[in-house]
Parts: sequence; structure tokens; C-alpha cells
Amino acid sequence: MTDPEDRATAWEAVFRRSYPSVYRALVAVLLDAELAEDALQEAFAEGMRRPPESDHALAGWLFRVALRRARRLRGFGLPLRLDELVGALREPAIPAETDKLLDRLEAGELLRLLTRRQRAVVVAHYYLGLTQQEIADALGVRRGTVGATLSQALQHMRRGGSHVF
Amino acid sequence: MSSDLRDLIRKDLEQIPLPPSERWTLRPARRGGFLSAGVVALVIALVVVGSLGAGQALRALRDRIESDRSATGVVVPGEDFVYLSDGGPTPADDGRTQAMQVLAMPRGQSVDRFIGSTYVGTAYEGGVMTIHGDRVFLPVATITGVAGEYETHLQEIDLSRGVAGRRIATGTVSIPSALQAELPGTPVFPAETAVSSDGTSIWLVRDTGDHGRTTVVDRFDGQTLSPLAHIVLSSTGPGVVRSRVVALSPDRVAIVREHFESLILGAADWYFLDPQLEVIASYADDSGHRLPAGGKCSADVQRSPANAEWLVLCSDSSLSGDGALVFLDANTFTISATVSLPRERGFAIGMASATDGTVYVLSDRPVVARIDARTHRSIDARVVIQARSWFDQLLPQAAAAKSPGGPSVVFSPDGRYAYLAGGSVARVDMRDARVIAHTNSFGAITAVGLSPGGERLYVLATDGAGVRRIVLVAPDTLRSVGQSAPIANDPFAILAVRPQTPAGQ
Repeated sequence: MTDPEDRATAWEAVFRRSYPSVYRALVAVLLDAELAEDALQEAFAEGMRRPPESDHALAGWLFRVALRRARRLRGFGLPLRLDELVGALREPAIPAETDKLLDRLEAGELLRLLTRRQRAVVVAHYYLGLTQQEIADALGVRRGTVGATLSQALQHMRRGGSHVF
Repeated sequence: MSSDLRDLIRKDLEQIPLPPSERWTLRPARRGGFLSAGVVALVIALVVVGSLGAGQALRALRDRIESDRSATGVVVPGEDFVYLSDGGPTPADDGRTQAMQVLAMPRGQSVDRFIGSTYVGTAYEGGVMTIHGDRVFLPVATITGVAGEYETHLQEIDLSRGVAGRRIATGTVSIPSALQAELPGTPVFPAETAVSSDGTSIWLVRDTGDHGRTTVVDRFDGQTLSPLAHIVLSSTGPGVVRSRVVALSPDRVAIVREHFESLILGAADWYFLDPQLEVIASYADDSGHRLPAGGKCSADVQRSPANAEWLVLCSDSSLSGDGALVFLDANTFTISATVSLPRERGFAIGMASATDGTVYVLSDRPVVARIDARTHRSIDARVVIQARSWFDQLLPQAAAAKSPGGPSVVFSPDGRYAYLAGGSVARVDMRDARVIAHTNSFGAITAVGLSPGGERLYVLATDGAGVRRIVLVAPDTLRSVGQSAPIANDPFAILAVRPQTPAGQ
């Protein structure tokens, strides 16, 4: 399939197949439904310009690209480091609508205990089913960091009183 | 427990409503919230920068000018072998898991790849072998023809020449299926080796028995490869044991038995052994005490810059308790002093010593703590700052220095500078606690390695298309000087950098 219009159609079809799971994963990580929607729209546009080489692990590709777009859209990732550096800033407030949504979810309480990086690793692993290497590639960290972050996240959730495990 | 969590997350997240499908592929609407959040962040940052005060700003400017003047961006010419870890935690049918790839720099070509079944790098914490001298012994398992059985040996690799050497036969093992199920990532031959820096001793530690709780330690003569001593350490209790070995001197070694429960490193027992592998001192639960932070201490055990003591850096990455820098007597390995590292300062990712007796400890907050090794007292702890730009020079997230991807931080030989990898790479002046160079222009940087003299810095970078390369950068400016060809097999760690010894020498 070489015709650009056909390529675009094919890309939209595979994008739509992956959209529900990746969107929900992004909401859980970013804790912002609007940002998740925008980031995923940007990822779609990116795929139109330069589609992934194959449909294999498309969810991982979309997750990675959308997280990067979210970072660009709203400095995702930077405020946390500033917070750690100056002890002054906090993670952006969770929009009220998303907050209500999380209140309804048992997993929402657990995810709120985590940092964004920890949420990203947990959701990518347990919801999207990505391997540690795929998560490492998506987040731009080493595979070992993913394993360590996952361990930390589980510990945080345990300390947070989870009765799930 | 993981399946319960997986089920809960899947069930719950499936309840998140989706936007109308016609919006899925639209261009995003620019919402005011983005702008206002950015403006707020910028204003706050400006206030913070302004609060530094004129004096500090002038000092930062002066230091910056000095840095620019001294930063040449020139790399001392030299040819190195860069050793990379690649492979996956799941054993192939023939038992192979991890491999050590050799890259000749600055030529940038992969010259060999040694395949093992080892803890060279695994998917779980604690995997990279500690390398001190110019030789390593790679644990290897090969199929025997009998189902589930493997022949094992230690393969010598000459790091300065990039070639394989002699072998030490270590017998036949059965595939540790139960252990692999309990702790995914466990190789067919659950073993680790260490070689003393002078090459006279080789140690092998193996995890055997139920839950890996029977730890077998062997010492071999580094020249003749003949066995010298043997000991078995065992324990009861919950969890799986994975052991590590840390060479301390030509005939002293530390065995670290890490206890994992539900994939989480809970605690670690430390044993210090003499030439006959008799226990000189132990810090284990069965002896009633562990080293600080539950024994979760870096395998990077160093000599004190002030005397003959050993320095052990202990810190829990989950920050459930304080860490500490522990001073151990050189002969008895009893604790002579402990300097606390409060958890509020973050996870201690590495340490370096200066010739004046100062020990620098870098944490992921990031904070540089200075400790006087002569008096065993804390000097101060300073947040790493740099005023030139808050936004593009933030210190990257740094992971555990002993994690399987290899060190995410390396220090210059004089202890003055730290090089951190974590998506980007940063050079931190430990004396002044500030970032003096930072770049993410090579792609996602996941590992760093420094030539033994500190003249050449290598970073493992992955570009947007997922292609991995080793980039040679100037240590002072972090400017690229050259890069390798694309590297196959998706390496994820830099294990060692050694100057090449020409053939025939």
C-alpha cells in the first residue's frame, strides 16, 4: 500500500483500534482527561506524518508519543523535578471531573498514591501489558529503572493500605 | 498478588468513559489551562530564581564564565573497548540469556559478543557484575542433550583485548524452574563472579537449593584457575535469595545475599570473608543486625580516602528509612562509624572520594552531602542547583546505581564530577553542588561509562526510531565527538570501558 490516502486510512484504522486502551492508560497516568485526549490527538497527527514501522506494539508507540506530547503541552515531568529541587511546587491539581472519576474507581485511590513516573510504569505494565523494555523505551529510561520503579510503586500502594495484594 | 492488581486495574480503567469517537482524530484544541499553567510555572520559577539573591547570581555568572573558559570540548585521543550488556531475562531454548557485547571506539564497530547465562544484566535489580580489573569471568550454561540439564563454565574475557581466554569448568546444573518462577529473570545458571583488581583471585557465588537459599561460594587462583576455597552460606525465612559478590582486595571479598519477596528486594545480608572464605564479620538477620537501610547497600564498596577503612553506602530506594555511610575497619570489618543520610535528602545513588578526605554522596533529590572521612562527621548537604536555566538543565531522574542497567552515575577519578544518565546526561560539580553541563541532544540516554582515566565519556543513546548507538562525548562540555554505528541486540547497559591493548602486547 503506497498511496498516501490509503496509508492514512490504514493508520486511522489501527489508531482507532488502540485508542480506547491507550486513552484510558493516559488518563490514569496524567490524571487529566483533557490532556490525555489532546496528547493522543497529537500522537495521531504524528502517526499521519511518520507512522510507526509496524503495527506490532502499537499501544506502546502511542503511549510513548502521547506522553511526550503531553510533556510538551503542559510541561509534564518538569514541575515534579522543580518540586524536588525547590520544595515549593506540587503536581498540577487534578481537574475536578477526573477527580470525580477517580473517586469512583478503587484503582484510582491506589494510583493517587504514586508519582507520575510510577503511575506510568504501573499502568503500562498492568494495563497495557508492555514489557519492561518497552516501558523503558517509552519513558526514555533504563530497563532497570522500570523494575525499580515498579517495586517502589508496589511498596507505596501496600503502605497506602491496599487490600488488593 | 500481581494478577489481582492487574485484574483490578483492568476492570477499573475499562470504566473510564471515552471521548466521542469523532474527536479521536481531530487536532487538539488549545485550552487556556495549558497556557495558564505554563505561565504560573514560569512566574514561580522566576520568583525562585530571583530569590537566589544578587550575590549568588553574580557567583553563578562568574562560575559560568570560568566553566566556559576551562571547557574545551576536546577529548583526549584514545582507543577503548566499551562493554555493553544486552539480551533478555527469558532464557532461550539453549539457555542463553544475557550477553556482553564489545564495541571498539572511536571506530564504532561491534567486534565481538560473548553469550552467557548470567546476572550480567537482568530485568530485576542487582544484576550487573562488579568489574574491577582487566579480566572478568562470564558464567555460561550450554545444553547437554539431556532435557533440563546444562553444562556450566566460567569464560574468561580479557577486557583490554576484547577476546575470550581460558575456561573454568563448574559442572552440570538443572534448570532452576522453581526459582525462575519465583523470581523472573533468574538465569539458567544463577551465578555471579568477581575478580580482584590485581587478577590474583576469582570468586564465584551460586544460588542453589529451595528458593536459592543455599549460597555456594568458591575462590579460584587467578593465574592457575585452580580452586582454593569453598564455603556454603544458607538461611531460612521467607522469600528468594539472589547473591552478589564484591571483590574488595586480592584476598578479601563480600558476599551479599539479597532477599526478594514478591519481586521486591526486602533486605540484604552482608558477609565479609577471608582468603579461606571463613566469615570475618557478618551483618545478617540471623546475627541479629543488618547494615543500615536493611542492608540495601551499594556494591560499590570503596577504600576511605583518609585511612584504610572501607566505605559502604546504604540507602533504600523506597525511602522507607534513613540511609547511611558506614565506615568499616579494614581488617575486622566491624563498624567503626556511621554517618546518617536522612531519607528526606533522597535515595543515595553513588559516592566519590576526594584526596582531601572528603566523601561526596549524591542523592536523587538531587543533594550532594559532604562527609569528612577523617572525623566521620557530616560537613554539609546542599541541593544541586544551577541558575543559568531552570528549565532545560534540570537534573535527570537517576536510578539506583546498582540497578541492572549498570551505573546511571559515574564519577571522575578525582571525585570532583558526577555524570548522570536518565533520559539525558548531566555533569554535576560535586564540590559546588551544581549542574555545569547538560544535554539531551543525542536521544534518550540510558547509560554512561567513563574511561579509567576519566578522559573519555561514553553514553548509550537511543534515537527516536529506537536505534541505539554509543556516543563519545567530551567530559567537560558533553559535546559529541563521535558515535558508533547502530548497535544490534538492543544493549541496555555499559558494563565497563577499558583502553585497548594492541595485539601482540
